[in-house]
Amino acid sequence: MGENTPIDLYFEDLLIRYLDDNLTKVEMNEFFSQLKESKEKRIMMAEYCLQATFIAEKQIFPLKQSKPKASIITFFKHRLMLVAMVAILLLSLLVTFSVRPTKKTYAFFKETPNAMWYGDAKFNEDSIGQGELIVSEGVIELNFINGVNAIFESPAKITIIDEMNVLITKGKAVFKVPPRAIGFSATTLSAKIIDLGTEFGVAVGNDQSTDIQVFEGQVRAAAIDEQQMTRLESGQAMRVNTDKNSYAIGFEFNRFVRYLPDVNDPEGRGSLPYNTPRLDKVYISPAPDKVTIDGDLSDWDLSGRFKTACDPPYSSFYYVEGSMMYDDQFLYIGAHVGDPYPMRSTILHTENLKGFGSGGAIALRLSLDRKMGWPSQGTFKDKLTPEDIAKLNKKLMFAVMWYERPTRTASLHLMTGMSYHNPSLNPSGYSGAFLKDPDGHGYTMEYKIPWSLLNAADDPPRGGDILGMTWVTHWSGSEGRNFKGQLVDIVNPSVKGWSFKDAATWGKAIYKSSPSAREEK
Amino acid sequence: MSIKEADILKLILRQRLQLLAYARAIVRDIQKAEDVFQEVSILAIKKKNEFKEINALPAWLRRTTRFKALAIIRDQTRECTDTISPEVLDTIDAYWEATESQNNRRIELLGECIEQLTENSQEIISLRYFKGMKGKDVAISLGRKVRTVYMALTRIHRTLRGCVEEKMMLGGD
Repeated sequence: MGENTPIDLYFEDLLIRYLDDNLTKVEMNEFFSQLKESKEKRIMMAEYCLQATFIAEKQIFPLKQSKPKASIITFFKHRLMLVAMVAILLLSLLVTFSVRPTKKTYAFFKETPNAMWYGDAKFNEDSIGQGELIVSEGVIELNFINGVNAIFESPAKITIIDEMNVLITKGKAVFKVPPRAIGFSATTLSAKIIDLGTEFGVAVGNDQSTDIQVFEGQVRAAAIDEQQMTRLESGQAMRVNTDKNSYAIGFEFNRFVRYLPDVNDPEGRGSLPYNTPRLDKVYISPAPDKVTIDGDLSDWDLSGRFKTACDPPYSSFYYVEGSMMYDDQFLYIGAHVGDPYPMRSTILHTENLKGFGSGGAIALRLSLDRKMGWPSQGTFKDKLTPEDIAKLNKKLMFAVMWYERPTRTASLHLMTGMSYHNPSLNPSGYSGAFLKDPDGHGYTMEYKIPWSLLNAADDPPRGGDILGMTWVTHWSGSEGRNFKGQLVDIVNPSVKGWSFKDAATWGKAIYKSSPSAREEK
Repeated sequence: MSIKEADILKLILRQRLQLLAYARAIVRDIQKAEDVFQEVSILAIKKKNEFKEINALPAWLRRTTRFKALAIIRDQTRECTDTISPEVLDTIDAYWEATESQNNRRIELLGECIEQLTENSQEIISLRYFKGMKGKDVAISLGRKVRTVYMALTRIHRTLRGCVEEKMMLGGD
């Protein structure tokens, strides 16, 4: 066959079956050979692929085979009407990103700078209307006008139908539905879920199976064509396969990331710690001869490592595994931190701020006063008089360590005493490094701070010392700037109060005299 | 001076269908094609500081789509003969480049042409491409032979192609 052959039925058949991945090896070779010989056939292939992709992307007519719930049908009927009436305009809008139609707002988009997403559902700065959203990286959060909060985790493909109905064809989503939005519905290609006032997660697998998990309250769920719905309650989970087979599966917190509520969320704890302190001491080991500050703790003595976590249901994703070491020149701080938004802080050490940890950080309150021993003594004062300053205990230190994303810097903020005196930002002499977890759900930090910066070079802690210390981990929202939650641990269980107000609440920092020692004088 | 991220995103979105179609021509699966597209989009944003001008981006997007799609095929194919030759891909590249200015119009017209298909034809392509069913599953679903489904798909594609060409020649109405 030469160029510009009008119709080559054999080639077309090969092309259709090539796209269906249904050619024998011999046919495949024949197909490639014909493609190689004819420009016309290559163009035909390009156009047929475009047609197939266009149809896959844009559902513009109803499916007879599926029987989705009424609202979905209504949606498609609505779209069919739209297409019939304003086909050219609508299609232009779908392909021309710069033209914004007037749409009804069903939800508002919450800022998530590290997320990658696109789709025609967004039509104003933060308004989400009917249409598609594809999340290719990170998570996005939508607040529906009826109070429903939805978090979509990449890779995800969602169609917003209205404020009460979403279609999820790929990815994971967690919905919090307030009483006024009872009846909110999430549909996938294999299942439908109707909320009865609850918090639930939906995960669509690559095979289009659907996992449904209820965190609180109840939902009704069923295979897409089934009338009989199953009631799922808090702590229950179910899988629905595309063959309509559905069965109970184990409830797993890790199946969906649970994000700390916003500080202003009445269901959250505001600025109060999200943990119940469980540790009263930390063992600080002598450092090995050579420690490289690179965010990899494999060269550490981790024998004093501790783990503490936020209270359920956040404990699987918000936790810290901390370690500390020392030698005659440095204090070493290392930690692996569970954080769904790791290393995102946009807070610059050059900003004129009092605190630098709200974008996510590790903060330590330390007593390095060997004469004072434990428990520590010291109280916060809002305003310091000259007399207070004269009596300032310079061996009580506050250190905040965070990854400064815009400058890719491991930053350090040091202050003296209990009242945040003598602030010092990124002073010379310390080193720090951060490393993000491969799964993007946490990070490892590693710091080496000279005793001189901590006002303890004249008499640094020694093996067998027991001094005061408390450990604070801060988490931020996706934007890396607004404090979302904190964990405070290593405390003195016999003294109640706030660690920033009273040093007596701090736990014990036990400096080990040898790697194997577990002494406590 | 590097290109703004917003400009890159706009261009990616404008070329989404073409890039997906290109990836699909290689990987033969819309989900995999979408994975390719997502990878390419992310890479484009990550490399935004390396692009000197926006005009260079379409070619880079096609080249990277091709590279990523072939990588997927290489990973899943035991025999390397099952991939399209570079010469063929070069020509498809050239075709996309040459028709770039018309593509949005073509896509618009394609939507109109699909509307004009018979209900049966719409149902077949909907099952095959929107629902992503294989040809044999479409056949089972409709109670027809696979051969018949393939023939119908061939006829539908040809009809759509002719319809778009005709509308292009007539100015689109």
